[in-house]
Amino acid sequence: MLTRATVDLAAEVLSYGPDAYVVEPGELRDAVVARLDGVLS
Amino acid sequence: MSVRQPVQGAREQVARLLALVPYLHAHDQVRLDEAAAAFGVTERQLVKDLRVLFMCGLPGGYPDDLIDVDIDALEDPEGDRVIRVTNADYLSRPLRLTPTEATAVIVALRALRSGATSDATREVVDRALAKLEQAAAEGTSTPLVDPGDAPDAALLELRARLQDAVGRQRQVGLVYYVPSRDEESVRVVDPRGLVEEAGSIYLDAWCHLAEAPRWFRLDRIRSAEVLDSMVTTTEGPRELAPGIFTQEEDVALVTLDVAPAAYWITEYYPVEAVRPGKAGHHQVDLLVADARWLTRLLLRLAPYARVIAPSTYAEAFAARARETRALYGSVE
Repeated sequence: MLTRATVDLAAEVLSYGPDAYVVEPGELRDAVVARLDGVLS
Repeated sequence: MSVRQPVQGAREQVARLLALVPYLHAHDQVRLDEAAAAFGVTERQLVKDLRVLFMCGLPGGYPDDLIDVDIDALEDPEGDRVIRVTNADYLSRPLRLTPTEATAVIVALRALRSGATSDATREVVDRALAKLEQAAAEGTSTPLVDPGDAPDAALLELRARLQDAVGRQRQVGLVYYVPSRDEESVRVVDPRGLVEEAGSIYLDAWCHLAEAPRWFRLDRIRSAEVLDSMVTTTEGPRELAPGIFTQEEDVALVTLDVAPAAYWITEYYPVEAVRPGKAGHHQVDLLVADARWLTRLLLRLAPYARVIAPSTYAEAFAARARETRALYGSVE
């Protein structure tokens, strides 16, 4: 279960599109990827 | 344009709570179904509201400070489903503001007055202001600070400079802050006139960067240099009757499908219409002046909002999402 902080940070990172990239932590990276996959699937 | 439907957002709940307290006070005890019907919500929603209400009260936050609602009577199968609110007698007392509170309300009312677009609004605000100022003056010996109605001096100077440029038909070099992109842009414009709308002053100008007419809010102009060069376009100021935000030719009405997790945007951004859809989703119409702004918003909301129409916005968002996803390669 993701924390609220991770969810909020994933949304913030995503708002920058390809101008921002999560290197770590893995949990945040996975959250960003899951949200993108939710759009593109 | 469709009528906005009542939905269960925080804004609607606060509005309901503000009306609920005097309603319950006036009715002493009222049945849950009766109150729900009066407010046009389900009984379940009203119980949710009452659960918020009993977390409200006087500063201190101890049980004796907070409004008490008999939730058992509403939720227990044996309960009589009558709303009983206690420990809220202070709500029926006449309101007394401290000097600080009164000043804050006066400042807010002055701001509301300066942004009012109709004489009727200004009259209502003036009456409220007169009562407040009189009551505040009678209730304390503390001198009240008059916030005044005068605009910022720097803004007045800028306005005069731009008005001069309009009169002499000189081009102006602007550094302008664009909030939707959080960036400053440098552009040369042909000024056409200055207008006031909703409490702000705007420069109406032909922008040589955008190659289109644009409005520039004066408090977002970082610097303005009146140039020696003459304007190269000669149109007069645009007609303001339809409203400043409905005139941009490149403003598009975009319809989104919004899941409950993204519903907050309807409370955060001005929207044109909200229609209930399936599975708790809503269709939301909003005016978009900058496609890049919408793409950023949709990326932030992903995957809880998508564009229904126009399709060009959906395609632009999908392209940006694919570009972003490609950065991560294949992830296990």
